[in-house]
Amino acid sequence: MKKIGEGAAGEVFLAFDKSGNKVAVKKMQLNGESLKLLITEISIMKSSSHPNIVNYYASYIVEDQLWVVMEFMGGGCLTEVLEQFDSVQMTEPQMAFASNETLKALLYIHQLHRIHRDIKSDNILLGDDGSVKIGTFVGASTSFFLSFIHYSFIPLANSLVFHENSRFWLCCSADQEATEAQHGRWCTSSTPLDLCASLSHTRARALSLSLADPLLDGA
Amino acid sequence: MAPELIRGHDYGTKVDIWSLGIMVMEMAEGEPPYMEFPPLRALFLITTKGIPPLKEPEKWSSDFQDFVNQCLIKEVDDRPGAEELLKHPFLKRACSPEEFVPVIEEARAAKEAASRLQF
Repeated sequence: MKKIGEGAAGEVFLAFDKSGNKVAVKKMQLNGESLKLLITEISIMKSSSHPNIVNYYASYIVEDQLWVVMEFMGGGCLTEVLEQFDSVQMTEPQMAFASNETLKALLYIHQLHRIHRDIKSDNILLGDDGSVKIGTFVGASTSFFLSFIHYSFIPLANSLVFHENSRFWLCCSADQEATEAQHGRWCTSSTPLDLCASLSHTRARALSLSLADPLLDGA
Repeated sequence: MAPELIRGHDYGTKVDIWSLGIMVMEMAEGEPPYMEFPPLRALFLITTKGIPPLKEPEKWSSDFQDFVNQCLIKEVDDRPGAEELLKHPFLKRACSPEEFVPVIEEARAAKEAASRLQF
């Protein structure tokens, strides 16, 4: 998979779904603490649907990483524009457009009694068509003040399912045999997981977690 | 980081409005305010002095300046929410998505040109 971005939370890769559409895959290292946060954040993303918020598709646990599959935004993030400030500057109408689009997403989030808490240019993603969307909530939780707030906006959904309808085929340079072996090995459950990964010993599994899970109790 | 966050006060959705204001300043000036200071010093300055005015105010329309100032009002209760800000006259100037594309493409081209120079 081609790497298209890198942030504090993890690396982002370009992949393709079964119909050949581009998707972005964010890979994040998991540990006990981060898993708790990520589960909360994924459930928030899953239950957010707005033209100015990047679509969330699915998540997979792959060995000790969490892979989050999201809408691919071909223009990268706003930071990449700002980094070229010496030669490329935004006009007022362009800044007004970016602000307006961001505010529409914020209004939606705020009306759901949620706070994004990490609005910054890295999290503003741009489409090839000029669309402007707030990016992932997932992995945004690196700020130190997060821990005392994030339980205040547990989303309305009463359950979250990490894996959805095995829609995604992550396009990698996997050798087909290894891939099929993995299928046979890991996809025998009632929710077949259609994930091929380039790592020969990749373990991928679908997770279904209820928010009543002890993982999410207490703060 | 919004002043109410830095002070450890209760905070709400308006921290996002503050962050938007900082981001807009970054779009206008290339970097957020107080970048010349170490992070902790910058946080201290935000709580004590608030955000400095735009460096070249004459470059910007009064609508733009007012929009930034509204986002960056120190007092949470005085800072407008998303709904109110969406009615701000500055946003009436917004270009179309098509007119936003060039800035993405120019930045991409500039980045590629810079990386070619390195090798």
